[in-house]
Order: sequence, then C-alpha cells, then structure tokens
Amino acid sequence: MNNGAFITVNNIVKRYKKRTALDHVSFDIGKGEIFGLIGPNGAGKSTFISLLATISKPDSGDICIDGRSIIKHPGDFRGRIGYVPQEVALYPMLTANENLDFWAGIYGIEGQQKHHRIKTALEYLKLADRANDKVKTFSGGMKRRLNIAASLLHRPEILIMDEPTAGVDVLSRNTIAEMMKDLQRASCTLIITSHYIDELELLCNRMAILNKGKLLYTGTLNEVLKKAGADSLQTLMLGLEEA
Amino acid sequence: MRTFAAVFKNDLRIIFKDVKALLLLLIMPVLVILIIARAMTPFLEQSAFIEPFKVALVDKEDSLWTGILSAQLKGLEIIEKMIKTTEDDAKKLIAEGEAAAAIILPENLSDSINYWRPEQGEVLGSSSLYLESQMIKNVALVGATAVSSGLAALNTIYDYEQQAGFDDQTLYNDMVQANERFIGVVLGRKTIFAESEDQAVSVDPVTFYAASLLAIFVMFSSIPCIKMLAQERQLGILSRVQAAPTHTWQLVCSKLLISILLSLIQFVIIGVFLSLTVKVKLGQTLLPIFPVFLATALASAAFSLFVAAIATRSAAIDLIANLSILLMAVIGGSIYPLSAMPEISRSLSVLAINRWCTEGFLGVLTSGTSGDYRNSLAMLLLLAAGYFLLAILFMGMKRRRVTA
Repeated sequence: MNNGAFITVNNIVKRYKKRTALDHVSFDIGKGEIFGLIGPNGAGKSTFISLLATISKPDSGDICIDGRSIIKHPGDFRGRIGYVPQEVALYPMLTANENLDFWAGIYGIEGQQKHHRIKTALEYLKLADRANDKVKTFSGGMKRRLNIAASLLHRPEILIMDEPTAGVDVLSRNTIAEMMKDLQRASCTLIITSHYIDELELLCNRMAILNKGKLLYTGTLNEVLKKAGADSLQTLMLGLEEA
Repeated sequence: MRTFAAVFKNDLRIIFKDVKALLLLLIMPVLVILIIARAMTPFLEQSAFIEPFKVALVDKEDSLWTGILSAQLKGLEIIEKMIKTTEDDAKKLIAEGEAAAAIILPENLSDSINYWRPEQGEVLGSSSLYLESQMIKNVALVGATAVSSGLAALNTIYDYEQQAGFDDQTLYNDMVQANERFIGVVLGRKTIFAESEDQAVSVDPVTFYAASLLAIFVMFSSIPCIKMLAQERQLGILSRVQAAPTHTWQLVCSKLLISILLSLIQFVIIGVFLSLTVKVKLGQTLLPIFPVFLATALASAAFSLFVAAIATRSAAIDLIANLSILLMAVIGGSIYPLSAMPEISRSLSVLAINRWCTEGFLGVLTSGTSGDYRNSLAMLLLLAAGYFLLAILFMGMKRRRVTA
C-alpha cells in the first residue's frame, strides 16, 4: 500500500526538560496508508502525534508532507490535517450538533455545506438519532465517535488519531474500524496510536515500533515481526514492556 | 474572521445555555446594590462615628450670662441633652453612664471675668466614655481660650485709653461696654463662624453603591468567561484548536469580548434601575460615563486574563478570582467609602480597579459632563495595560517551564 513517501519524518528530536521524548526518529508514511504507532507508555507516540498535528515543534529534525516542511509552514497544513486527540475534546454541555457546528466553523465550513457535512458525519458514525442530545449524556463510545466526527467535517487528507478507541465498547470499536477502512478507500492517510494490538494488526498497512523515544522497527507487520524476531506483535510488546 | 465568528458564536451559546446562572449574574447586581445601600446608608449619613451624648451642667452662678452659655452648649450637634443639675448629681450621672461629662461653671463667673480675674471652671469626665469626655473638655478649652483672648483685647484697649489720658469714668464705661460686647460676640458664635451647607451635589447612597459596585460586578462577570478558557484547556479543546487553521488568541479574545458584553448588559440594567429609582439622569452624562465603563471592562478583562495566567485549573481560577475581587471591593472602597479607611487601604487602593471606576463615575455623576473623570480613565487604562502585561509575562514563564 506504500505509494511512495507522502509524509517524511526526518531525524526528529524532542526533549521535555532532561527527558528525551523522541530521539532522532526517522521514517516515511505513504499516501492512503493506515500507519500505526506502537509502543509502551512513554514511548513517544503522543509526542510524535502532537508534532505531526502541528501543536508543538521539535527541537531538531523535520517532518514534510509532499516535500514541504510542516514545522516551518504549519499554517499551510492545518486545513489538510484532521486531529483526534486522546481526550474527548468536546463541550459536554452542548449537543452533538452544536459541538460539530463549532468545529465546522473553526475549519471555515459554512451554510448548507456545514449542515450537510454535520448530518453526514453524524450518520456515518451512527449518532444521527442523538444529534440534539447533550454530550454529557453520551456513553464513552458515543463520545469517542463524536470526537472523531468533529475531525472529519473538513474532509482531511491526513487523519491523526491518538488512542481513538480507548475505553470504547465493541460496537463503537467496529464502527470506528469500518470508518477507518472507508477513509482509506477515499485516499485518506491515517496515523493511529492504540493500546489494542489486535486492532492495529488488522487495520494497519505499516507501523513503527517506538520505545523510550527511539524508533526500533518500521515496516509491515511481517517485516516488523521478522526484524524483531517475534512471533506476534503481542509478544513483541510484552517484551518491550518488561525490558 | 470567519473562524473568530464561529468561536464567538459558540461562546455566546455556552454562556446563554445556563439561563439561570445568566439571570443571576444580571439581576444580582441590582439586588446587591439595594441591599448594601440600605444597610450602609446610616453609616454614610453620619458626620461622625460618635453618637450624640448627654452632658450634665452644674451652673453655680445661675445668671443670664451662664444661661446663654448653657443654651449655646445645648446647641452643639454632639450634645443630645444638657442636664442641669448639682455637682453631686452630676457625678452620679457620670458614674451611671447617663452623662458623658459634666461642665461646672463656678459662682461669680461673669463678675470674675468682668474684673479680669476669671474663676476656674471644671470638666468632669467619664472613663467609660473617654472620647465624649475629651470632646467636652475641648469645648471648655475653646471657651477658656476665647475668654483669655477677650481679656487680652480688653487689656490692650485699657492701656491705650489710659495712655491717651481718658478719665477714670470714661475708662470704666468703655471697659464695661467692650466687655459686654465681647461676651455677646463670643456667646453668639454664629457671628464669628458662619455656618453654610456644602453646595456640591450630594450623592444618593444607591447611586454611590451602584457606581462603586459596578466595577465589582464587571470583574465578576469576567470569571465565567475565563473559566470557560480553563475548561477548554482541561478538555483538550485548546490543543485541538491549535491543530486547526485558527489561533488560540481568537479563543481568548472571544472570551474577553463576551465578558465586556456581559458587563455592558449589567451596566444597562443598573443604569435603567438608577434612572427609575433615584432619578439619576444618565442620558446627560452617558458620553463621559461610557469611556469610564469601557476602561473598567477592559481592566477587568485584563485582570481575569492575569488570573487565568497564574492558575490553570478552573477551581483555582474561581478561588483566586473571587478572593482578589473581594479584596479589591474592600480596599477599593466599594463596601465602605475610601475616605473613611486607614491610610494603608488608601495606598493599596491604587491597584484596585473598582476605586478608579467609582471615582470616575461619581466624578461625572456629581459634576455632570464637566466632571473630572480623565484621571480615573487614565488609571483604569494603565491598570488594564499592567494586568495584561503581567498576564503575558506569567503565560510566557509557564510556557518556558513546559518547554524547558
């Protein structure tokens, strides 16, 4: 599925005080891929996500999309990137419709187009019947789905998802997984972090294994397992966590 | 601009979602002004902290002159009642707390003054009503000083006339005449001290509290907005916005604009209330009042931003903001007039937004359009700039700590 480097990560270093969160990390992501970032807690996954989402800047190194630096020109890419944060970044006192109305406005979507996209997103993530209910009355899974819907309104080319299925019921996980496959078919590039290894095994075309800020392996599932000498991703992760 | 409109619309939606809280925010000021004005009016209308008190008078001479003197003393505002009695009864009255002091006028007081050898009077004080006793002692001292100066004047006249060769009879007649005239002038003190009312427009207590509490309400109205910002930070909305084609300052500016809007609504409600109740004609003074209000709203917004910069969590913002506003209310003279506060409070009040807002409003309300409000306006703008710079400084320090 790798159609050449669409996103190039080049020698990224990010430090917080004395701790190095990302230590000279380099890899490529192809257009239309579902790319998984895997690693134990503190591996640097969320730090990388925040760099790619242009929320923070690295101490050194660069990330390019289509050959253009997103570090130097973050404003040029923000309209092309969708970001699903780890926390449910929604207003609990507002309804699903009102929340999506806000996020559509943030991306400059207006008028009929806005109404159409909100309706589509809600239907797509099976939330249409709860459109006018306050988010605080939603279950964890519904909140997660709405969290994703908010980042799909502007039809991003790249969707970055930080633990999108954390604490979510099976039904919601399936809905999210189907959505990801649909988006991939529509040539959207997805970068995902998750603690659900089985989910990543099934969904991701390629992946990067991070540990303590360092990139250990990158490639397809089979390539990673071969390089690591592990029989499954599960065993590899257990090994990393114990180390 | 489109994204800012979306943020602003969303903030308005959140604020108007909680109708009960909003109504409370807008109606509370009127209720608080009414309650505080009613509760504090007696204190404001008093000219002194000491209530009028009773004084015993022991008039051992009991002549026409001492009668006039007694009537003059009775006319003093601080004396509630003059009890004419004997020395023993006066002592009893003092001991029982019925009288704060006793003035004892000696026998032959008038004659002794006439013969230029005034008899000594006495003032008996009460240890339990010390201040009141001291006041009566001072009144007696003033009287004694007047007598001494009068005698000195008569002495001068006598010397000059004697040196001029006036005969004894003329000298005697002139002295008696001058003496009587002097006593008359001293006792009829109104010929010496002309009493007049201050012609400046007095401020109704409701107007005073409306002006002084408005700044407090303006500051309070900025808390929900700045709390919204803290909640957005906690919920992760701010970082999500950072990944979108917009800027976080748009979120901040929107909150500030909302807080100014809420303040404006409060201002209008209080204005209408004042026009209906105490008939304050705001229409005539609106032009100078509005800049003062706007500068107050701006300073309050900058202050709330400063609070948000030093505290990150919503609960901490609540605590710090509420405590600082209450402190400002006290030291800035919104509860009790600044003129009656200790020096330290007056010095600290320079930093209180409500002080300058009150001074600005009262300056305009008491003097009309010509009222001097420019000093207050300048101070409010200075405070706005100061709090804003402090907010930027603290935000910068916080960012450096995170990225260090």
